Amino acid sequence: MSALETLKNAELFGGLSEEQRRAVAALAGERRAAAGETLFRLGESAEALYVIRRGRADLTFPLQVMGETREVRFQSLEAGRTLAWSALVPPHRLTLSASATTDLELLVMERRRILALLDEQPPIGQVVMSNLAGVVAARFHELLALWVREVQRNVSQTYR
Amino acid sequence: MWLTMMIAAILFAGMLAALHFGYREAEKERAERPAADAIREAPPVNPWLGPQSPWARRRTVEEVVFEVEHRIDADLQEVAHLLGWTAPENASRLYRV
Repeated sequence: MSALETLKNAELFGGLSEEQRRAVAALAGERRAAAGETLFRLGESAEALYVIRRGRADLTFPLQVMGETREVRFQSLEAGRTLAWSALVPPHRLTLSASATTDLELLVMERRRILALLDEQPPIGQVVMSNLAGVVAARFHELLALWVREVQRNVSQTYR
Repeated sequence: MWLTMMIAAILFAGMLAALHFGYREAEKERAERPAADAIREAPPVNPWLGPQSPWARRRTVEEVVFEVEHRIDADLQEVAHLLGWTAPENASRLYRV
């Protein structure tokens, strides 16, 4: 699958014209990762934005279990999904870790270059930022719902 | 014979009365205790039951991680359902067909 086709089906770049997608594809590189490989870790600076071309990646967070630190899966993402969207949002700190669950092919866009493109071409910036708002809002809703459930569980267990 | 029965009946009635008044006194004491105290002084969980019981099989770290991931996955699936998301990317991993 070409970079253009990947972008056509990517959640963050849906709605762009062919020409606009070409402009984005022009600054995208490729990266491959073997199953089990760590792509980035929570708290690191988000220097690049990734779009999954093929394969599956897990978003994880570290959890202390019986004195050992383990990476616990929060969500699995497949082709078309975005990794490290923090690259587009200050302070550019990654909020989860990511690792390849299967052999993985990714499109990689350097933060500096993609931000420069969005700045130079406002119509692209508007579409991408609108899509990004949807991605972030979905994450927010998921986390809010999970948090409310955990609070409810704790209250139910504590005040029986 | 009658005298014995009357003494037994009196003793039985006395026992019932003691139970009744004792229970009422305990209930009154409990009702007057502040809620915070009641919560703090909640009876401890029976140590012979649940995962902390001496004969419960000790879980491994892998089992705990699996349980946590499974729970997050199940919750995410339900949350996606509740929010009306039908896109495949919002389906959970474990329950995806």
